[in-house]
Amino acid sequence: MTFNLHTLFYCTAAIYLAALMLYLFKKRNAAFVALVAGAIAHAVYSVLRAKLTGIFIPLYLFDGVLVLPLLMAILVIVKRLFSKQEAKWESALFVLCFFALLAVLYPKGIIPPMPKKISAFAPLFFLTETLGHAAFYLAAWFALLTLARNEDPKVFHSFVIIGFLSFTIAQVVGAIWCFQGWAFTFKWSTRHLFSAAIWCYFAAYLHLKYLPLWNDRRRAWFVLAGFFVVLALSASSSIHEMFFPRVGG
Amino acid sequence: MKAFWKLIGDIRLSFWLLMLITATLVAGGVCGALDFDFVENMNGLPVQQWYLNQGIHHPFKSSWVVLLFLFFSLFGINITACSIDRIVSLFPSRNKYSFAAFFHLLTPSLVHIVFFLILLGHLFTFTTGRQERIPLNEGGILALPGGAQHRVVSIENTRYPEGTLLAGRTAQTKVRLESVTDTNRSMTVLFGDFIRAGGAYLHLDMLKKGGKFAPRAPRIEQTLDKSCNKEHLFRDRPKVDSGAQLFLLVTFDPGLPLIVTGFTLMIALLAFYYIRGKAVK
Repeated sequence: MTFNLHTLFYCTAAIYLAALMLYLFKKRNAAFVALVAGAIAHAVYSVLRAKLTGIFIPLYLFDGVLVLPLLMAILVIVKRLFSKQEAKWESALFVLCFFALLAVLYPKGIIPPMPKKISAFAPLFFLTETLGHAAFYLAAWFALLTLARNEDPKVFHSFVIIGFLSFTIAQVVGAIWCFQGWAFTFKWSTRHLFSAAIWCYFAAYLHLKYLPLWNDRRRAWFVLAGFFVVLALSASSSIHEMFFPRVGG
Repeated sequence: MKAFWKLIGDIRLSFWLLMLITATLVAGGVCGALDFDFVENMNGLPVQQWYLNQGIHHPFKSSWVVLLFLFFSLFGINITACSIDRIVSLFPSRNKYSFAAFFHLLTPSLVHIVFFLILLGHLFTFTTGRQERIPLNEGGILALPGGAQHRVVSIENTRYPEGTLLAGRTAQTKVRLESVTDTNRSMTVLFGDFIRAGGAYLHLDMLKKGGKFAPRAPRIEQTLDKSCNKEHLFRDRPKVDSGAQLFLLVTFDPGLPLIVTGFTLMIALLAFYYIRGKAVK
């Protein structure tokens, strides 16, 4: 067995799984501590991976599939520490571990950067886009808890708001980056069209608040369906990128 | 008339239009995944020109474009009507609030109007924007928009340093252009940056030439496909056939000022709404 930088990622995934086990054994505080430990290890891995080529390239701090569980962990930690809402925050470890396991199977090397990708807006775009995805997935998880266990619907709603704000910033930052590199703020391509579709889906959700027929449960169903919308539309590009040439793993 | 106005400003219509737009965007994305070139060709051409030249011959693959423009047009009308309705209904109560509090109340409607401006900007871009590619070769002469002729004085590639995993790959390219009539007038174009000339935006671009790639490690060559990932064009390879050609992208985009203004206003309004909301709480 050879050890390299990516071994740290496997350790991170193992810590997240350990946190889930602790939660299943009803050790909520211990699960939370393990989650924080996993997030720290994950953050260290992300920084080291950005230096994987021998040059620090900020773009690789926020490689969608690999950084998604970290951003989910940060959202859960921040919510647990600072939110006035009562919720089983650690239960989000189920969905976090699901994405950590997907990341374990994902190629860990980096796609060599084109000069157009060396822009300050590129890492900012991937950060805000992935943070948006993370918040939407967490919103779907807490929507499921609302449907199954009558959890407070404000919890899933607050994640949708975080996700939508972050995703909106991603659309603006992405447009600026696209103009810098490709001379238009929007390109007709699958990536851009799917990204716009996710934004429109959750923009539609925000309007449901004003429609009396859409009560909390119906809105929870809508957000739960959003899980599959985000997964399908973002996974398509992630799966495609699995076959791109990579260096360093 | 009142009933019609109420209908077009109805929030239920906003919701269903957004759902239809979502479905149409997904359909467009699927088309792009199945036929990359067909959708890619829309970039740099006015959409109506693309539709008459190509789209119309493939109605199954292009109908989503027509639907997208239709739904977005209806959505633009809907959010404007809805916002005007709300502003008109709030206006009589303006004296009950301080200016900041009243502006805070208006902000969601203003954000919708700004979003309409951004949509309008994109409509201008898609219907009137155009792009040309001029091949760049050292010593070559090119005519820039506005009629000025420029010579390509130098094309300098900066490589990633030896000893790194990216050694030999292009990190940046610097192209220096000099006016043919006045050698004191020169300009430099870089990747990921732009300059203005004759009302156009000038960017660097790299595209694959028709030629074959020089052989490389088989695993990498086998995975080259048609997608937006062009990293293979920036790798060093034997000079027999570089496979890549440097271009100057000349873009006319009349919608851009509206889009940039819209984005700026939207960020300012959302920041005000958030900060004011926090302060009130």
